[in-house]
Amino acid sequence: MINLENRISKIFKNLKSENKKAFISFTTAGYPDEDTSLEIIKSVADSGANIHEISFPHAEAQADGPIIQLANIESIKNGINFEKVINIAKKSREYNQDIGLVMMGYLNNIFIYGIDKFAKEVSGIIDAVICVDLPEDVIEERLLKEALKKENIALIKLVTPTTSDERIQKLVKDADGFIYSVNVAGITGVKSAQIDMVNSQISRIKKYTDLPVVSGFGIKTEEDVKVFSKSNADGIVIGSGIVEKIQEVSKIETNKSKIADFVKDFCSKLIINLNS
Amino acid sequence: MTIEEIKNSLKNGPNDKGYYGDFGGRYAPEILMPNLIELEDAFEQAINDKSFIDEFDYYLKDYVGRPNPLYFAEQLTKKIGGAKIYLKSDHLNHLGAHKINNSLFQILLAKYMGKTKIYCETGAGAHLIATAACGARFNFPVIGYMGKDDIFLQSTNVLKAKLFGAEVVECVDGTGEKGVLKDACTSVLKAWSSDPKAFYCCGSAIGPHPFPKIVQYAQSIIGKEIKKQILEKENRLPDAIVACIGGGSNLIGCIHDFLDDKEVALYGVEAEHSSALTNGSIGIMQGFKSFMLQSNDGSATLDTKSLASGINFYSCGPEHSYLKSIGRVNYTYATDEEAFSAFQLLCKTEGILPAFEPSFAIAQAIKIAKEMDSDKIVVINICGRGDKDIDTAERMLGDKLGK
Repeated sequence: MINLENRISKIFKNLKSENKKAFISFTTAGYPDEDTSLEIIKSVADSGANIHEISFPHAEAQADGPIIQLANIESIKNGINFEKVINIAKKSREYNQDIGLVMMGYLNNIFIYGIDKFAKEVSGIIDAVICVDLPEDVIEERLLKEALKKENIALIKLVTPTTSDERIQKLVKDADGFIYSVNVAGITGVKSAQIDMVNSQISRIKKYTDLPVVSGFGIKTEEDVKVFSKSNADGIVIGSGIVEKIQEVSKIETNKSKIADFVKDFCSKLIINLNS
Repeated sequence: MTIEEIKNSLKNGPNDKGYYGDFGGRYAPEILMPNLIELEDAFEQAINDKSFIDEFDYYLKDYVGRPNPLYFAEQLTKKIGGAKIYLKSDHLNHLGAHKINNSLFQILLAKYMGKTKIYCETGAGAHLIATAACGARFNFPVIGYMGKDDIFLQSTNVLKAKLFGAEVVECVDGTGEKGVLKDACTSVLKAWSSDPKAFYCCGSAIGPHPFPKIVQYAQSIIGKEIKKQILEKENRLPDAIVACIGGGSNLIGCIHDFLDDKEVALYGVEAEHSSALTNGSIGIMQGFKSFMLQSNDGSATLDTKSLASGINFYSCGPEHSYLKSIGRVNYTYATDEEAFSAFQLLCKTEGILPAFEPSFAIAQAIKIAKEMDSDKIVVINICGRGDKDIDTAERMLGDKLGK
């Protein structure tokens, strides 16, 4: 097997040489509707985001707060399904070959679709998968990791404030891509992250791995981004903050390219704040 | 028992990863993993600690009121004209349902672990009031999560929980419009993720490992009593045991001690419009793999409904999915109409007011008993009393209630 360098490791390598952090955006596929959500991803890519997380929605999302949860339910109600999300990922990749694309969500969609079929279907399209409810001791973790590895796709590991050093060592052992450091104990978009705690958690992770560490949960606003630009993370994830903006603008605006432009402007500002 | 029999026993429970065959597991976000591992270790320690078990037994007897009777329903038996029907009386427990067996066990476990705050979810409110009561008794603040629709349907249980000092949080799905048991389950997992030092007292044999195992352990007192009592009364095991199933705590409690007694037929009765075991497919949600009623791509549960909030659940405990897959338990469903007429029949024939939930089991047991000879024995668990349901019954009966 030829192990091509993963797009994600290239992204982090380039950023490191410029002493910059990765800006990682997150939006819900199918929200506010299928077409607009694709336009939003394209515009986020245009804004200069380094990596984008395409969330495949789930109605019983255990780790998501009210903002993303509402987007999940609305998009499911509007007819999104896992197959359509894969299609959105394909079109996103056609549009932009540089951005790192991650599909993020809950195991059941991949389980129902078929783990091997999924890995083959997204080969060459996405660079990583984040599964919220897939700890290392369930059967599917190994199956998915192996299937994705064949396609040069990383299965991202999450570390949280409750994860002990012992567990971190175990989690990072065969991790790939980057490590996702969850800043707060809880769900997305509710608690604010505290930079001291964020830094100490990232330091704990970096003791055991050389992989890039990105920091997410509890970073929502331009101000937050300014604060966390000084953290020791290699990148930051903004999810609820962007989805909330999409919610706001789609209430008053139906033109999809205008919605996408608005999101692009928001992300551009965040990126400036991150690396200024 | 021979070593071979012990090895092959269906009572051995999940493997070390929490799987019953292909089902169960621990599909939890990383934030909850340390909690779940801590809980699993504490549970194993507690059940091997004689002083813990002695305390559980003491409160089961003097607080819950166990053992409750295995009652020969002579009038019902005559009316049906088939097998002898016995009723296991979990409706006579303190607070009128089987739920207290589990709440008591887990509250004692929380105390054992040095926890200081309890979260729970509830459907019909039986688990909520049981947990609230035990929380009051052992000085724990209790925060209960309950679906918006269930709060409306089960207002007296909400009131009781508040009298016991619990806080009740209304849950809705993402739309904010409606909320049932599964919404309470998702909400409580989120609350626990945000407050991982607290103890989550799970009300049914569902959720990530080790909850199905803990709940099965606590509820197995029901089946152990049935076995002892039927041997005393009839000097033999029953031919069939029937109980209702939503998440499946009452059913697993009734049948666990009989899993290796192949001569005893076991029946689980779901509600028609939440019949995950009959009409569902295998999926993974809320931390466990089991049969569930779900959309084609697995993004959402299907809407369920039932006369009985307590069994109105899109899925079922993973051990039940396993027992279905190996054919040990017969899973079936009853309609709301069948359950409601069984509910009235038990009122009229025995002067016993069952909850709507066990009325689904009664409906099925009647069908089974009718086809059996009079020397056969059927046991039904009346897992709750119907006080909580009388307003709905009154609305449904209208003029037919009589003067």
